[in-house]
Amino acid sequence: MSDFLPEELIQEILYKLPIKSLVQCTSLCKSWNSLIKSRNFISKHLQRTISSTDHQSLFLLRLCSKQREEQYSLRFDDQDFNEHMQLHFPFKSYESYFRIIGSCNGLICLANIFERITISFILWNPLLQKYVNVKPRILGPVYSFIGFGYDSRANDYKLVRIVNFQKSKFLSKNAPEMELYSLNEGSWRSITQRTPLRYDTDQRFSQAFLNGVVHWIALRADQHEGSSNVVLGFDMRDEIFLEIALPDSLANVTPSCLSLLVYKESSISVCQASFQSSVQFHIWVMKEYGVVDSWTKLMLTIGAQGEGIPRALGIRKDDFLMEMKRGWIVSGDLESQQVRDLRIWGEPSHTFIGVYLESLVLLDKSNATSYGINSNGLIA
Amino acid sequence: MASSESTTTSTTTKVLRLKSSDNEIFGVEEKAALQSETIKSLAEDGYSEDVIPLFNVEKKTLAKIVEWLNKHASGSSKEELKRWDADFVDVDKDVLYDLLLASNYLNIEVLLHQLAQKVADMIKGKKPEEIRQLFGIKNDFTPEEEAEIRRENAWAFE
Repeated sequence: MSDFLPEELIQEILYKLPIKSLVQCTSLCKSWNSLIKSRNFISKHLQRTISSTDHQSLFLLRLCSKQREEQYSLRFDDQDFNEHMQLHFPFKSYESYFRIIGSCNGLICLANIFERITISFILWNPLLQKYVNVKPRILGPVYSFIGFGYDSRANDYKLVRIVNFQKSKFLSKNAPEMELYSLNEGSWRSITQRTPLRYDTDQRFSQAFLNGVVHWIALRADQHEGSSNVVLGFDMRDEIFLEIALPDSLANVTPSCLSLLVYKESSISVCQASFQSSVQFHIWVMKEYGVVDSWTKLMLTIGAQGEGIPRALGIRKDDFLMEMKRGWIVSGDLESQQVRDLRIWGEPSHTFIGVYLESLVLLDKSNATSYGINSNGLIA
Repeated sequence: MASSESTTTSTTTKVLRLKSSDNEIFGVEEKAALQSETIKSLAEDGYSEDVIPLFNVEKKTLAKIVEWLNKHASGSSKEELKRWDADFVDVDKDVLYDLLLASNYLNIEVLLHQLAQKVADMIKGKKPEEIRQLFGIKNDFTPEEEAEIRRENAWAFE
């Protein structure tokens, strides 16, 4: 390992290195190589990064051009959302653009969807220039929704997929099929639902992953109580579904008017936009995760833009990020209500913003494919 | 009266005596010394009235550690400490390693992190052969194996 220092001190030193230096250090000798590429080291390195007080908060931004190009970059959590670095994007999708399922611990989950057929999922660590291609087990045109997240107990990344063969599961006689992919196992398996699944959700809805649970907006049908909107969660560790009640005023609105966002990395927020003489966002934040009484409403009013209702992209600190109808990204200060144009543009309704963490995830995976900086048009 | 005054004085400035592996004794105020978890538990085990033996730390290293403990118990401002710490870790490799080993043995977490950060900063931007020298690592890869690792992660070696 080292003639001078014991392994535990070498580890302390390595935890403080950036990703690129660590990958360079895998070429020094066999023992450093196997240490840095071990699952245990990768997850400890991740925990150190998360708990380190001076770690730089980063966001992933995906912008699309009219020419079907996708541009991925990392952005600082500063006022102007300045660029930290561009990410080389080597993939090519069947449809116009990839759908981004989520971003978790530096691993980005993309879906290559053509009409209603999911061709593949890609688990991608852009810093390591590595990816794993995941073929879905249930093929064919289906209505499905998907969640991506991290199981901290098993130190595993998982995809959960709920497949309906009818547009609405309420119209379907058959229960939906549910399958789960584990990156460690490298395969799919069926999961059996322990509580009857009475939820319907739309695959276009974005997910929010936090506290080990992936969340979606869903419509819950109940023969006696009628239907209402809820937050449906799937716990990645215990592999069970859970439900979080929404504030009463959101329970019966059209679900497509609601967006689910991560709030301060530790809780969820649901926002609803309305348009009268001006655009009003009703941003409900769950101040204390899981505590229904802690739903608190914040407001953001934007003067009439003649542009329709903007699309919510994310919340950072006290800023609310949204995409205007023509594709410009603006930030609204929830305190001062001031709206600022960030001078960033992307093809409307394809822009994505998510939290990002620089990590070594996938370095230990022998089934991960590496690509060079010159690779383009990889069809996953 | 007189005896109660002297008791008060002695508790506020209690001094622990630390003995290096080469038998040098350093007197350190308790408040400063207890930043080390190892000294703390030895003191709790009843060594505090006597000399606390630190078998793994030589006097030249212990002198530096004592300097650090005193500075960090002196109530200096954050900025002042930051400047002071930067100078403190600015030493050659061998001294740095001795300090690392000692801070690990003495379990002084803040110092351990500062020293590990300093070594990490020394690695950044160095060539593989220089890093091997820094740590006394023997390259046990064949040239083919090493080339394969570099090819696999070519982006990191540009």
